[in-house]
Amino acid sequence: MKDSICVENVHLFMNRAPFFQNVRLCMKKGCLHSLTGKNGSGKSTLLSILKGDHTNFSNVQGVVSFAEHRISLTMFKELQKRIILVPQKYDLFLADQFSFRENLSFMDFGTYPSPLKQMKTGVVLPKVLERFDIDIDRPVRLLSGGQRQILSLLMAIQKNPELILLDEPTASLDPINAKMVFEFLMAIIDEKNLTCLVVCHDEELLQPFRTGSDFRISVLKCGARHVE
Amino acid sequence: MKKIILILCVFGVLFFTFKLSQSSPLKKFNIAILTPTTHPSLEQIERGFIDLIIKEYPNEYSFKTFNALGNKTLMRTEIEEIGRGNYDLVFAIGAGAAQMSKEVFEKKQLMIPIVFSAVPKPLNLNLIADEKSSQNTLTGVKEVTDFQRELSILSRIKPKVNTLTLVYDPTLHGLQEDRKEIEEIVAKMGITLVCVEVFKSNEILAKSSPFIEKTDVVLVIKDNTVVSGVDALVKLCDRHHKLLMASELDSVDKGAALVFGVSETIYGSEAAKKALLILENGVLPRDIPITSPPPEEFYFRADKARLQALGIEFFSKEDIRD
Amino acid sequence: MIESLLHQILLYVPLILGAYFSLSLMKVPDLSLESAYLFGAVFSATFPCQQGVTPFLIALLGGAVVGLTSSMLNKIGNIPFLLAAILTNGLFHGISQILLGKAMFSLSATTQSEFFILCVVSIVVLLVGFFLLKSHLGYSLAIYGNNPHFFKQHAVSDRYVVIGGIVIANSLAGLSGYLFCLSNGFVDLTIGFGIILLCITALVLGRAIVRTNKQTILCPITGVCAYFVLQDFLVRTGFSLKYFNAFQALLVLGTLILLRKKQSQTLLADHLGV
Repeated sequence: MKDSICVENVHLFMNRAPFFQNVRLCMKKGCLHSLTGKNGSGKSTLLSILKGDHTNFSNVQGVVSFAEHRISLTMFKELQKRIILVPQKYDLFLADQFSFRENLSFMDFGTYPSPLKQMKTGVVLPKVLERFDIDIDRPVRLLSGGQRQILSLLMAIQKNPELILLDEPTASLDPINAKMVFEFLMAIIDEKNLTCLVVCHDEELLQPFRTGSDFRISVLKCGARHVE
Repeated sequence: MKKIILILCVFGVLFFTFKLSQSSPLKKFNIAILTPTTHPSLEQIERGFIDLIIKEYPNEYSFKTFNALGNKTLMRTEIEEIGRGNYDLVFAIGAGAAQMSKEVFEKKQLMIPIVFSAVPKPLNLNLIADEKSSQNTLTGVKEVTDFQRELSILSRIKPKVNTLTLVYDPTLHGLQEDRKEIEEIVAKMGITLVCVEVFKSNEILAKSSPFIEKTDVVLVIKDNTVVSGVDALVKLCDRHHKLLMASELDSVDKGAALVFGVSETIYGSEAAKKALLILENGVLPRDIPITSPPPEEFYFRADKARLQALGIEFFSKEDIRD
Repeated sequence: MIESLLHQILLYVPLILGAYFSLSLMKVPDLSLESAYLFGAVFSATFPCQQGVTPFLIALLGGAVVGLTSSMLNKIGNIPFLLAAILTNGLFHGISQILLGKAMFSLSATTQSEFFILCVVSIVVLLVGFFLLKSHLGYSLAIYGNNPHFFKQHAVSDRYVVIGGIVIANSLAGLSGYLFCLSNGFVDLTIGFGIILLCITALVLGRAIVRTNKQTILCPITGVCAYFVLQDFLVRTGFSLKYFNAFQALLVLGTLILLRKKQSQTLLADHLGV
């Protein structure tokens, strides 16, 4: 379907036992979808596979369809161009010695930062940011957890991905900051027409913001994971 | 920025207020002694230099020692300071000190005379144009060991030597050439030379141990690194009953059975004689030939000689050192 | 007096700038600076061609080879950086010995004014350093020191950043080694001793004076000037230089304690404190 991003026929074996068996997700574009399940059900593993983590999952099978393109889950570099994962420990994503503005500028570096290109700090910030009262010239380590999570989201968006994956973005945040993050996420999804898949345990927090599907991972008796 | 300016001003004021003169105004001559590092041999050379001058001209000279502590950066700073100071002569101990002083003074066009000591092969270092006349502001005492004589004595007192182990530090100036000279001499004598290269005195025991069984004599030449750790070699030789022959006279006190060398103080006193020629008699350094110290002395230690498997019937009473 | 002090400072400008990249920005224990300093001097002094800018380029190349070795041992060989640097030091000490052939090697005198050469080299190095610090790679070096995991998250090659940074740092150290030997007329195997402590002291002093977390060329420049002004001052005031090493250690300790005194203004602590 042209207005959806579909993940199909995902198979993964771990220690010779099936881990994912014929997993399928279809996500409507421009919506916030959720992926839920018990601890250890493989939510983070699925996100890593989609992100194109070749170090741990070189034997995965499956396809991701982006409208006209079908990309195998083994084409890691292609996946990395289109899908961004913001990790649970979002501070890994940030250079906290530098300011909000500088961190966004770092997204221009490319795979091999050039010794000849000078860094530009005049990055264009989305209008939605004005609502959130963030001092963009302050070192990131002095910002609150919610503000840092917003920065990591913005940095992810700078690469113009087609799909953003968020692994428990509000796990370490208080309710106020957590709500702020989701409000920002919704605003950015609306502005940029992004597709987002979020892993989040807090159904009460997530429910008002979810505009797409809720995918649940369940573990079958044989140990394989299945997505509904 | 303000802090930088403030700190620079503080330093500037301190520079001009702390005008400690390098010498007492009552002294006739001021001598700077430049030594590369802290070592007993170097201290003896310095002592020999100062003692002779004080003995000849008590209370007329002042001495200031600049010790580079093995750090070439610090040595450079000290030489710069010597260049700025009111010194009549520089006494440079060792090749590095002599070389650096010469280079810096030439570039600054300073004519301060430099007397060097304990420098092996100064011609090879381009320190001087010729040993008879340096053609510059340097003169001094070169370090020479008569290996031919040393090894002849060894062959007389211990005729049956098949293997000779030489323990030395190849990073010190002149020792690679000494090794080659020894190699040529022992080859003619039909002796096999085994070389053990050490870079630090704490390596001596570990690196020498594998060779001790098969060797007849362990030889130590004028080498500050190995001499610092000669105690380790003494223990090794005592345990395996192997002869230890050293080129530092103090080594006999540490336990070497045989020593063949010159007292370090002589290097200092010979240099002092040249310094006095320059300062008291007005002779130019270029007119003072580079000399060697007096011929080496030979001593043996009776108790160690027995322990290290050496017959002592050859020696005259004059050779014995208590 | 000022000229001789400036002369000494200019000899070490490339080294301290290189140390700033690796020790201060990248925060790696780059002990291979010592062997880069030595090998750059040895390689250049023993190279057949001694005309024009060739010896300077050879010195840069010599230092770069040392940096490439230690960084590749770390990034490709997966050896911890400290161990990689120590192994590199041992390796290049031996290679330097082979190249020199003897303990001390005399250099032929320069035909042009040495001070002029030092000024030109320092200006070029500082200009390159200034633009490099503002470039993508310069910022990447600082990011690596702040968060080494950043690169993996953003699909930036951390291998490229580390190897590039260490190669640049060590090549500058090699150049400085050659300048030192050119100035003193000889090269020997002991010229590298004490270099790391000199770098650390200069960088700590620079950081204490220029109190900023951002990368700036002012930090190494101020540090190297402060170091040699202080050393010169001590020599002039008759301070017994037997205790210079201890003084240096106390100076670094005191400066670090002062830097950390005010928690609210704490500069980011790291394993070397530079």
